[in-house]
Amino acid sequence: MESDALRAVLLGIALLAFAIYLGGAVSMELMLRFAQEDLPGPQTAITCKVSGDLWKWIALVSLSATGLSVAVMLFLRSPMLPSGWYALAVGGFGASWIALMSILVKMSFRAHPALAFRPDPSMPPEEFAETRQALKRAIRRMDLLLRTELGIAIFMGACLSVIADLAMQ
Amino acid sequence: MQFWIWLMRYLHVLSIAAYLGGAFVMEFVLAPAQAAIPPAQAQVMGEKTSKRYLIVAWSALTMLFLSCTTTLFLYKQLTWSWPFFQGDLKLSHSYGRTTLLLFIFWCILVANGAILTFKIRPTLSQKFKAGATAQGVAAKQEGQMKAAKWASRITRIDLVIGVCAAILGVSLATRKLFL
Repeated sequence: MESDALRAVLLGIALLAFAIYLGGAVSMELMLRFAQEDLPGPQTAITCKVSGDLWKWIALVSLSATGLSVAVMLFLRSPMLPSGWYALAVGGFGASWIALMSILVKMSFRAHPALAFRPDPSMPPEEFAETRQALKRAIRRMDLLLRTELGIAIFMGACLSVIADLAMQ
Repeated sequence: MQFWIWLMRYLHVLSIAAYLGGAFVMEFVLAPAQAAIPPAQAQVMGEKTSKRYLIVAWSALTMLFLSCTTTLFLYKQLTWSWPFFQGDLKLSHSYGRTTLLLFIFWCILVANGAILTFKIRPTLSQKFKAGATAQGVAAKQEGQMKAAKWASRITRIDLVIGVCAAILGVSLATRKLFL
């Protein structure tokens, strides 16, 4: 009975953490980018930096909490390896969690910092053009990572749904 | 049918995720980002983020209602004929009482959404007309600052209610916590 209640608590933590992660990622994509369209360049850079720095840690903590609580919940249910649909769902969840962590680390420590560098008008023309091109590539890379992240997160949510159903039986 | 029940539950989880995540980001990520830029641009950013946030919030609230009622119909706990509530959904069961509490939470979120959409957002979007007096401008600015504070308070209330609703939802789904 106590183990059942503990598993339910862990499931609650996993779902809440996942909700913040997925909902936050969707909102950042839908709200922040839309708002930045009408801002001047320097203000866009500032809002990008401030929100990115905050979101990076929130996303890392919530994704870690999701993974950890699901892992403990599964272990409490049964230390044996799962089979059938359950195994597919657990495998899918694990693979997508690793993929999301990798993307998040890459975005936080490489892709996002690359956006902070702005070309200086006092640079020689060739250097200025090269820096602008590098910035455009960095923005495209960030876009691709964000959309990939969202797709994988939605898939991970589906796996988590199946795990939630089966783990509480 | 199991597939449709699973799909409705998944849509329900996605909807609460969109709602909670949106409120969380508005309060703890976008608000600090707005505070870092000059007030004129902060207002532009605030208007645009709140416009999108309300779309996300209303879509999530609608989907929450639809996915919940569809699931209850699929479980045959809700019917079109009297009495509408069957099985554990009756108020004599803790399951039924918890579901009623969740419905009350949903109504509060809808009411808060209506206040944000029809009262606070129009106040924040007001532009100053040419020829307005200094007193008039000062009064409008004060009104906008109060509206911004209320928007923040309502978002925090929504966050707390959303978290409580999520916990109660897990309790209903697992029947291992408070039930």
